[in-house]
Amino acid sequence: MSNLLVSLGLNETLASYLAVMIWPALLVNFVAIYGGVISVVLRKVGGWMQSRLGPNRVGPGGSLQWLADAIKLILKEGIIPAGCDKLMWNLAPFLIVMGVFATFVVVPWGSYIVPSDLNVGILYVISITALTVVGILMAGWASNNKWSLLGGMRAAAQIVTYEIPVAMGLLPAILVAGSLQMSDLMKAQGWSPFDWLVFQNPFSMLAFLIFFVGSLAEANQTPFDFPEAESELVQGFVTEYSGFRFAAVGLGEFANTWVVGALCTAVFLGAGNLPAFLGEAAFLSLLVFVVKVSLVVFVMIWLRWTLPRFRIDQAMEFSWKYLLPLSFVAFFGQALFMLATYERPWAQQITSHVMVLLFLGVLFKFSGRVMANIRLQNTPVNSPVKIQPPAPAAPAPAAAEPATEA
Amino acid sequence: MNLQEAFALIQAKSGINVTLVPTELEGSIQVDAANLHALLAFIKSNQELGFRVLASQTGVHAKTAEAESITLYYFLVHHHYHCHIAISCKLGMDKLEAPSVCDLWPAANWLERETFDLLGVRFTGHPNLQRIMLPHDWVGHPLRKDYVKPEFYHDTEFDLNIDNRPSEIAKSFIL
Amino acid sequence: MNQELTTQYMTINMGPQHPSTHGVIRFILQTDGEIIKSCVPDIGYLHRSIEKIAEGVSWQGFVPYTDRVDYLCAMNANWAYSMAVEKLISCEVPQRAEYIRVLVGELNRISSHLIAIGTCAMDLGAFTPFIQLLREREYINDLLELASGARLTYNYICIGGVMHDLPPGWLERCAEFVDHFDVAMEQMNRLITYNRIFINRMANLAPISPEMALDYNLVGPNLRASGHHIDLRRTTPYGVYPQLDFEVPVGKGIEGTLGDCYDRFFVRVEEIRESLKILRQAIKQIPSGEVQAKVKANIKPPVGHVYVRHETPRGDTGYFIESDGSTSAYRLKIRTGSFTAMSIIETLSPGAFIADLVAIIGSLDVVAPELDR
Repeated sequence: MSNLLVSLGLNETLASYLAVMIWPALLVNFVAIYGGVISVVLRKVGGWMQSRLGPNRVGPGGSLQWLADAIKLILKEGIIPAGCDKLMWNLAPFLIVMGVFATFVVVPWGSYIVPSDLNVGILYVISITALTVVGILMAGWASNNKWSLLGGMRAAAQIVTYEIPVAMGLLPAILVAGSLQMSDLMKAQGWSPFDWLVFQNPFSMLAFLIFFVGSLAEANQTPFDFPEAESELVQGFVTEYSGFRFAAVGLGEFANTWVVGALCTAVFLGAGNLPAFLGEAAFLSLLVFVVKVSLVVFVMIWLRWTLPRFRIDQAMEFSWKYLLPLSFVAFFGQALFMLATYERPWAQQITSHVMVLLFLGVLFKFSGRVMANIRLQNTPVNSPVKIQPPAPAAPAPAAAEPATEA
Repeated sequence: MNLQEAFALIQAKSGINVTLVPTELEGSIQVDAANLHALLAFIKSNQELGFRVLASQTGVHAKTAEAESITLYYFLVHHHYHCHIAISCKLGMDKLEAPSVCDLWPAANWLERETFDLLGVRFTGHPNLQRIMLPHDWVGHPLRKDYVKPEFYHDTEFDLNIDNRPSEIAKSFIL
Repeated sequence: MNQELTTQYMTINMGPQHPSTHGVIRFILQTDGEIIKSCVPDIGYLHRSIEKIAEGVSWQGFVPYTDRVDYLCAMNANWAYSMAVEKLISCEVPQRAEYIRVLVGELNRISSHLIAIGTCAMDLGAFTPFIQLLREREYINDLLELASGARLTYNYICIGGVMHDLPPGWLERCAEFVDHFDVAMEQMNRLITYNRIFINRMANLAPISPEMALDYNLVGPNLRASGHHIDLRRTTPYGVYPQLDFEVPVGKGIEGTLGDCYDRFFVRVEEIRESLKILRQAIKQIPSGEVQAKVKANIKPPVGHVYVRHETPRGDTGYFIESDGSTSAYRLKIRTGSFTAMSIIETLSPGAFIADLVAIIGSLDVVAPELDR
């Protein structure tokens, strides 16, 4: 950003100061608008998956529903529950939202468009998301409501538990790139699927899956959304929040989905890399990145509407007994793979091609099943039925009367 | 097994004094309140009868000019569910008590609570005899024939004289 | 310095308003963290004194009230009451009316089970199956609206038969729906019934042994899931069920223990399939004729009582009617399946998680209006 400003003619120190101010403004605006838009997309996509329309009144096709929701929530009365711990209750939404906003600083939007290219980029993201735990615990406790307390405790346990598979799932990628810096991770991959880290070998695919599932739990998405499990805990730790505080917490949760998608893309799916002949086109790189992240977010929405919820102890068991050992397997497997294929780049090419072919095969089978389902579902129902009119009765005797009379 | 056969078997096998109350519809086997628990325990444990399930338990408040009584009915269903018999027990209004059968069937727990709530029959030996349908501080037993609806509950007034006739404006809409 | 760390049980109120209790019921939970130590249900929030009302309205006039006893299966509720009064006055119902009763009763059984399955899945977090099943239920609502005129409280099956005949083209439409729904149900099964997360939530949870089921007088799918081969359509056949060929699904403990939550859920799924079989046969076998027996306007039945049991989707609904010869009942008691299913929750819940309590209530298919009448 400061380079861009310098190329526009400003002097260096002014450019660096302005860059520090422009980036947060851009990011906060993006997060706010994205949180709103994704809430509409969530409901529309969910509606289409459930044979119904989503919101369709406000704006063309319901696309401005987020504005209506935002305005409504801002204008609502913020009811402060009696007996709550005022300072903590007021502070909790801030912490939840801060924990999410702060991670946007290291997201690589394209080639060299990183707001702040920290040399501990990944580690920073993993550690700063722990702020949300503090916020959720505060919200749960200070609300003076037993249901919120249960939700807060569950959330704290869950997020802390799933931090570990998330961090371990990132280790194979760090092995390949050799550093924690986001732009290095991006440079370690190429533009074609054969160069993406996810298809490099089975262990990195395993690492990607572990990272993705762990991030679902971090972001409180179904199947891990018990902190706000509506059918059990009314609304979990946000029960007592109304108005703008509720909007802020919801915004934080939706923005978290973008962070999950961005991390997945940046680390595993070859974020923003362009083919060599396109050079350093910043805008195209940004577009590629946004498209990839949107695909990951779509998969998250898809999972949210399809799967039922885990139970809290089942989720804990899943993380400690299954994800953690698998992440160790992925880590060591990746290390061994790198050791074995260090001198033999052709082996890497073969494994990545095989992985891509396997993935395409799975995709093909899946779409075949989808087409079969669609064809099956077109069995007719409620079609108009042809009703035979009743046979004409014998002519009424009264009709014969006038003839005989006349 | 129909009611007559069950009655014959009960009279023969158990030492309990029962009478058959036949009507042109279904009848019932009548027993005193003192022998009620023994009879039901006998029926439940008797393999030949096979009426092992307590399907329903209710009461009827009969009030005529001469006499007033509450008759308790127990409906026992065969464990193959194809037939049932009715056991009845007539209670006078001065002694509205009956032994509880919760130790025989856990299903009787709530059924007897409902009979207590709506009719006022006390069941001795019931672990938790409280009102179940109505609030705990309700006065009266609604299913009795001489029940009078209260006018107030706490500070809510029940408007008993609601006029349901259509208003002038509503009448003008009727074509 | 060894001191016992004393903790207290938390008393939580799963209040009358809660997104997951099916209707207005209240539970007072005592929990040790997430594990329930005791759960006391508090019912009566939907008590409308329907039994007392029966003593004031005429015999035919009470039929709409039976709709409201359990509005999810209103046809079956109408049918149960009509059966009881027909036994009281010894009335013969014409064959075509019996077949129409079977058709609408089985359609209503399917739609009630769809709600039971859908809400159970939704309480566990799967939103899509519920809404998809509601879409299928709309087709059934359309059919029943064509037949009776209403979408929820039908007031269609009356004493002596049905109110009026089916409109022309109804049978073809019903046959088309049955074919379509066979396919749709298979898809729903793939979405929720065979879903590994769902099975893990429901299997081995709150198993009810066959002895316990009989002691607590569970009925309907709950009883069948515990292994008993009991269905009133087979044990005390009424109407034209002897001429219809269908099987009674019984729980076998497929994914866990016998009589656990998954068994109860799966028995309902299987029952939908059997209902579709019954519908196909009834559509083929239905004769023509009149649809209502000649019943006087003011019925005066003989003095005495009857106890008639009918298989509604929630189990064995027993109508105890005592008449004293006048134009309204002297005492009417409705014994519903949800009443005893609710009382067993108190015994099943200690040791389960709060999330499990929601699954237990959903699998037992407790409906509040039927509970409180």
